[in-house]
Amino acid sequence: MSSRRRTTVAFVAAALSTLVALTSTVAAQSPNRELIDGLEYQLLYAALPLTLFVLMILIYAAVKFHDNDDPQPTTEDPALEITWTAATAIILLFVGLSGYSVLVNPYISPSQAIDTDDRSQEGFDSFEDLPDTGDEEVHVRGYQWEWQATYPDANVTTENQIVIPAGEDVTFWLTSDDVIHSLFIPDLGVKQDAFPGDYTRARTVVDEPGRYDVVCAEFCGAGHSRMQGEIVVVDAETYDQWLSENEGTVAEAPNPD
Amino acid sequence: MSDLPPMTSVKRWLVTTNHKDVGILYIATALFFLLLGGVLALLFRAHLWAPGGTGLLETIEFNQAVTAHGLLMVFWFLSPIASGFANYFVPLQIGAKDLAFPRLNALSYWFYLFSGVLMGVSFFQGTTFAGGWTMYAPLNVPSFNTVMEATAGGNATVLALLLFVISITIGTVNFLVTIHRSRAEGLGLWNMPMFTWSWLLTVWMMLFAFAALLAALLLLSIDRVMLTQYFSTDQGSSLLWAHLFWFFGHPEVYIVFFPALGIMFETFQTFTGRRLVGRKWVIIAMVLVAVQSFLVWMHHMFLSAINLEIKTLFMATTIGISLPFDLMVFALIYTMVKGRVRFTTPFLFSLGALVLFILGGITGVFLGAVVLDYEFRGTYWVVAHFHYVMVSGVTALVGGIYYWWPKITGKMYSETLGKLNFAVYFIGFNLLYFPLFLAWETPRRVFHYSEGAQIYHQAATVGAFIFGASFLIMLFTLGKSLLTGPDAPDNPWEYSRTAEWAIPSPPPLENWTDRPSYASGRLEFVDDAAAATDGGVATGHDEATAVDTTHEEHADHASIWPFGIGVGTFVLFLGLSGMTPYVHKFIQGTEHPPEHLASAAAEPSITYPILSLLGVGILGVALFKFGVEEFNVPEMAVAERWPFGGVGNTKLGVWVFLASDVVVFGGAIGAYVFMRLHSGWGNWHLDTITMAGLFNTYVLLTSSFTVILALAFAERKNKKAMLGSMVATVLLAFVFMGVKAFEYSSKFADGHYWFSGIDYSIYFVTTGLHALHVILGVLVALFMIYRIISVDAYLEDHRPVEFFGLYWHFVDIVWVFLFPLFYLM
Repeated sequence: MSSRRRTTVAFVAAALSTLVALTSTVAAQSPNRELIDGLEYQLLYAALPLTLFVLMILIYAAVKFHDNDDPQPTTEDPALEITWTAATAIILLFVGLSGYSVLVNPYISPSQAIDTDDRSQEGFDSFEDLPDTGDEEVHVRGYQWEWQATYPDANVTTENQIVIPAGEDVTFWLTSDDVIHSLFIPDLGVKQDAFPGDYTRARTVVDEPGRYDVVCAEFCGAGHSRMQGEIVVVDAETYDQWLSENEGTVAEAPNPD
Repeated sequence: MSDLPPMTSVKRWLVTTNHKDVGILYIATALFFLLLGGVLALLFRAHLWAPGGTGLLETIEFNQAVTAHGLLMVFWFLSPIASGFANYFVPLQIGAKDLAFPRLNALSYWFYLFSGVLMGVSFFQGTTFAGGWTMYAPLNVPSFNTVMEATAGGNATVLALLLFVISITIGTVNFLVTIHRSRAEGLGLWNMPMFTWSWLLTVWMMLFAFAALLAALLLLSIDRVMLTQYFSTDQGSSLLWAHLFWFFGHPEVYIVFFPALGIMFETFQTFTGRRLVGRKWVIIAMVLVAVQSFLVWMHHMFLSAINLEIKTLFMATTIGISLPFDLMVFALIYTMVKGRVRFTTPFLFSLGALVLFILGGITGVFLGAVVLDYEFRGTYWVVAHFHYVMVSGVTALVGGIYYWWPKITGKMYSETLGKLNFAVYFIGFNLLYFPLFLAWETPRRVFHYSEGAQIYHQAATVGAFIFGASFLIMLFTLGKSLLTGPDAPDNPWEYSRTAEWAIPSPPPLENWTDRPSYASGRLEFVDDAAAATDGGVATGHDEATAVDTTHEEHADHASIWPFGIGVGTFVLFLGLSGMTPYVHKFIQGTEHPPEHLASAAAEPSITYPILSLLGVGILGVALFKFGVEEFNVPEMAVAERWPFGGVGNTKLGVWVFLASDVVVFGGAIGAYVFMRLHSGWGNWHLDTITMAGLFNTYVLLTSSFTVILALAFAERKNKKAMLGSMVATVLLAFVFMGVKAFEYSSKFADGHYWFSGIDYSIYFVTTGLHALHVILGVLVALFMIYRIISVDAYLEDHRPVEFFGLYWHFVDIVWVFLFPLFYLM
């Protein structure tokens, strides 16, 4: 996707979001967030009027027939029942289809290690065993109560910071040393559980250099509340340079500005 | 002991087995736990006032508070209060005098109460469980917490839950037998009142869902007390727990919501004066939900590594389950149309519940669309969603309290205060939970949230206190009614149609003076005595008449032994909660203690073994006394029993219990298969003695045969031969246990213990669970032998031998599955 087209898409998405919902936050920073927001608003447009409609009927019925002087016994109206059930079924089908169309996106549901390989889960003993994705890969390890990232190409390690290059597809391979953690980057719409002994994958691409908050979204014990970190997005050049400068060390993330 | 002391005496409440008394006990106890859970919520809401917390709670205290709040509300409040209503009103609505097994009903209650007490005690054993109410593995086992030194509190929490689930299982069996076999003449299933319908489906779901939880909790307790490794490995433990827990956990949502829905149906009908629109379709929709609820559990696991196909499948089932609910919502709305809506307090609460449920349900569809989980899962958005659903259920349940209050107490309450209660409740609810949607970027169970979310959290905290205040108004309203309220007529709501409103408020001990019947299509009371004397004047019901099927013999209503069993179990479980340090010490003394258990444990405290022994002692005495007590529960002479007309009450009870036990073993065997598949089927290093297993298979099958012989001899009233067959059965069981002991000790001699690895954990626990069933069977058999010798039991009525046989065959069949799994494959 050319950067201009991407900008246009981002702009249109942003404009749409701002137009239709005042609660909308800043323009989406990643395709993940953009797709999720898009679906969310799509569902919201369907759900809001429907909810209001149902609630209005409900309140109208309650008020209109409050102390009604001429009550009638219940009569069955199968046509009405079938109509409303069918109407809801159609709406739910719409929800399912729009959900599915986003779900299959390779950023939202990247293939997992077991999908691309005949081996079962126990076949993966370490990060090195994992299939190659073609993306820029970062190995992220959660433990009580820190995130540790290693960059396999250069054997660099960072703690509570995950450095990624702007504009490149990135795969986070996640695992945990102890209990379940969940890497959650709200601004990028990325969330994936990290399981002890298993390897899971999250995938995104970020255009704008900057810092994005990381929190743990799965309760992991006494320090869960403080298990925070950040994603540092730098341009590709800075990234490569930073990697080569810090080969084999535990490093601080470069400044994205 | 059979005479029931008056209501004002404490003794009455300890010995009662009457369904209405037990119902009141359930409701009162549940309200107490509501207050406890509510105070915990206020504590952490106050702590959440500022980002990073206000310093009111330490981190570990915060974690305990959120965990205990969740557990108390879901387990010790929501289901039990519904259970209280069901205890009181289901027998009334179906025209029964009591539940099928009144003493078991009292036992359910005491197990419930003591499980709650144990949960309360856990706070004082160091810390209570602090790993979140979902208890995800491996955070739920000692090795991943600093609590290796202090496991007792967490153990007590898990054991308390275990006891609670046992209570639920007993209650489930009781209600299923009652509803299926004690309906008044002419009351077919289709015509059952809606609250009874909702409760029937609730208990069917409970039967299977709670059995899965029982399996999970059994394994977890053994992990925590005996230090086995089900949930502590990095080889699939996390996913194993998630599957077991959510297989229970999603049906649980409907289990807590259905009774509320039943109350909504009842109150909508009463206060619109109309029958529910599309009643039949609503019932079908509820049945659909009950079935489908078992097919959606993996939507709680969308962010584990499950693949796209499974995600899509569970997305479809999840979105699909909202369709039947939609039908119910519209049925409720259309019931109001053309009716005469009366805004009484119970109706307002039900209407409010419907409004909140619509919001909770629609946000549920959002979450069902998988993709949004990437943003919302594990955040306050989910917290907001499920509180809208669960607490909309609470709203209807509060409506139920007001609705049935005049019937239970015989007093009216102040409508003005009731409406004030509703107004404060509704405002507090929305101020509390709606901002949580907006605070969605805050992860759950976290108090370090961003500055931007502070306004939402503060609004929620204010709402929480308003919401809490509404419950004080409720208690005040009810208290005032109890002390100074005017007397309630039989049917204060005029248009209530169900049977509980056709009798005095409060109803007499045995509910009816004449037999309720729907044979003519509407509720009538039939005086069988009058009918039997050919239209003559009935001269009092105590007079024996010629037709003994109509005049039932005296029924018992009091027994202290359910309470005794409750006390014994409580003491035993409390004792077990502190045994981990002993096991840890033993492990450190073996040759190769596993690395992950290296950290220090607390000093063993002698109190706990003493408590355990004391508990076993009390339990033994109480169970024995329970067994020999004469307790007469007449079966209804005339009743609707479809589809179980041909099966006796007790037999049906045994069958239902075994059905849930199948799920328990299914859970244990499922865990075996799951863990073995996860580590590669062939990589399994279990070394068992095949010959011993084969020998034991023959032994058990032979013992099944001797039980059949015992039944045959009982039918022929041949005491000696029956006794001989029973003794042979017990001896065969001893042989089985002996061989088992030999197997275990030879494993120990090889250095293979239950804590040595996941494979040996599974071997010892699964076969141990089976052995426990054998031991329980032996205890029952020994008791029966004692009864045969002492009182010539089972010669007149051989059915107990048959029931024991059913259980024993089941235990054998389980072994037939275990043998190939552990010895051949």
